[in-house]
Amino acid sequence: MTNVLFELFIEPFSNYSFMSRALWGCLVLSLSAAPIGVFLTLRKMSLTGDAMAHAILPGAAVGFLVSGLSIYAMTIGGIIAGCIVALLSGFVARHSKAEEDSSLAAFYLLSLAVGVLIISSKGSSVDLLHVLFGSTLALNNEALFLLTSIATVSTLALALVYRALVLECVDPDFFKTVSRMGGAAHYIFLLLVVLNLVAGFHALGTLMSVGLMILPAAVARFWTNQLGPMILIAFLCASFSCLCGLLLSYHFALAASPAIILVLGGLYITSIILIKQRDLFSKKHTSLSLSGQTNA
Amino acid sequence: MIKISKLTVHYQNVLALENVDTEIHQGEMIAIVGANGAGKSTLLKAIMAQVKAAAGGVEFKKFGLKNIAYLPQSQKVDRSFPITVKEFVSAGTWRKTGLWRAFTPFLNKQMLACLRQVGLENSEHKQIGELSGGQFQRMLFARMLIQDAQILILDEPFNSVDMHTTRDLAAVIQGCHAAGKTVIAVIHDMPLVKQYFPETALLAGRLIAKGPTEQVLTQDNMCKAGFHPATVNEL
Repeated sequence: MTNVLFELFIEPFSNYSFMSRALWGCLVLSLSAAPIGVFLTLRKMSLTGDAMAHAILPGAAVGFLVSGLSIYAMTIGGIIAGCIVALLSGFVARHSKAEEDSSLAAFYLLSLAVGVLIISSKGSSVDLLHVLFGSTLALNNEALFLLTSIATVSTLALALVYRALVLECVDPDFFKTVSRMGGAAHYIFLLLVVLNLVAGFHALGTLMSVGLMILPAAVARFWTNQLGPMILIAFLCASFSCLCGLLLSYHFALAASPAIILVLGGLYITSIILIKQRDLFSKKHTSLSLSGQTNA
Repeated sequence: MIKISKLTVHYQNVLALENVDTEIHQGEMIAIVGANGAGKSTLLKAIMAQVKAAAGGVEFKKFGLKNIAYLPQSQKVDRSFPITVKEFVSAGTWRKTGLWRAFTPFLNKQMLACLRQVGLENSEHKQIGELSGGQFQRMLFARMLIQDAQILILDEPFNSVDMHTTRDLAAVIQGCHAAGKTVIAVIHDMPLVKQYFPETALLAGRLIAKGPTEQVLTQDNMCKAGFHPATVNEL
C-alpha cells in the first residue's frame, strides 16, 4: 500500500527533476497569483484579468521575434504590452464614450490577433503552442528564477499596499479624502496583475495563466466571507490543483497546464454543488424546527 | 472658516457649478439643498479638493483639508466586500495608522466608543454585508466620528434609513455641532432640513440663497431652484 502511494504521489517528483521543477514553479506562482486573483474577483475585474492575459501576447511575440524563445526578452515584452493595454483601455474609457469593459475587450482582441500573427509568421506552430499553452514540464533554471523573483516581489508589494488596496476597493470616495494613495494602489495592483500573468504564461501559457488567478479565488469565495481566510483558501486550492494537475499529467500523459486548470474547474463545480446542498440542508433544518415549534 | 470664492466647476463640457461665492463659518451646521443635478455633491467635492475648479476656489482659515471627515453616500460603498465592521471603521484612523502603523489598543478603544455612540455595540466582528441599511449608515457615522475632525461633510446621511435611525443619527450630528464642529450635509428631505439644520444653502447650479433655514426655504427661492410646485407647496 505504502509503495503504491509512494509510486503515485512521490516518485514522479523524486525521480524526475522536470516534475519537481514544474511543481516548484507552479507553487511559487500559486503563492503570488492566488491573492492577486482574490482582489481581482472582489473588484469584479475577472474579465479584465482575462483580457490582460491575452494582451501580453504581442509583447511576448515581439520578444520572440527579437531573440527567439528567450525567457527574459519575452518577459519584458509581455510586461510592456500588458502595462500599455491596461493604461490605454483605462484612458480610452475615461476619454471616450466606450465602456471600460468594451474598450478592454477591443484591445485584447487586437493584441491577441497581432501576437498570433507575429508568432505564426516568424515561428513554428510548436512555438505558438508554447506561448499559448505554456511549457510547465520544461521549466529551466532561468524560468524558475524568474518565477520565484516575480512571486517574491509580487507578494511583498501586495503586503505593502494591502491596506490601501482594501480601502480603494471598498470605498474609493472616502479613501480619496484621507489619502492620495488610491490611484497609486490601483496602478500598483494592475502592475502586479501583469507581472503575475507574465510569470504565469511561462508555466501555463497566456491562455491558461489567468485560470490560476481567478478560479482559486472563485472557489475560496464560496467557502468564506473573510478576506484573510479567502486568500489562504485560494492559495491552498491553487497549490492543490497544481499538485494534482501535474500528477494527472504524469500518470495519464496529459498536457500539464490544462490538467491543472481542469482540477481547479473540478474544485469550482464541487464547491457549487456542496454549497447548494448545504443551503438546502440548512433550509430544511430551519423549516423542520419551525414546524416543530408550531406543533408544540 | 471655509471661504468659497466665485467657484465654477465643469465636468468635461457640462457646467456643474457657476460662480458660487459664500462662506461657511466654524461651528456652523448647514444643509446643502437643491434639485437633482443642482451641484450639491460637486460643491462637497470642491470643498474637499476632489474636483478641479475651472475658476475661483476654496480657501480654509484655521482648519484645512486634513481636518475634514467625509461621510459618502452609502450606495457608493461596496457592501459585498468581505471586511468586518471593525476593519471598516478603523479605516477612519488612516491619517494616524497609514499603510503600516499598528491599530493600537487605544485606537481600538476609540473605535468601540464610536460604535457605542451610534448604537452599534457588539457588532465589530460582523461582516459589513450582514448589516441592515440603518446599521450600515450607523457604521458610516462611526467611521466619521473616529476621524475626530473639525469639519464634517456628509453626503445624504439620512438616505434610505428609517425614522428611528434618522433621529439617532441626527442626534449624533447635533452632538458634534454642540462640540463646535462644522457640519455640512447634503439633504434631500426638506422637513429634516427644517427640523435639524439652522442654516441652509440652496443650489441650482449656482447659489440661489444662503442663510437661516426659514429664510432660505421660501416658496420663491424653491421655485427659483427648480423644485416641483408640489414640493414647494408642502413647505
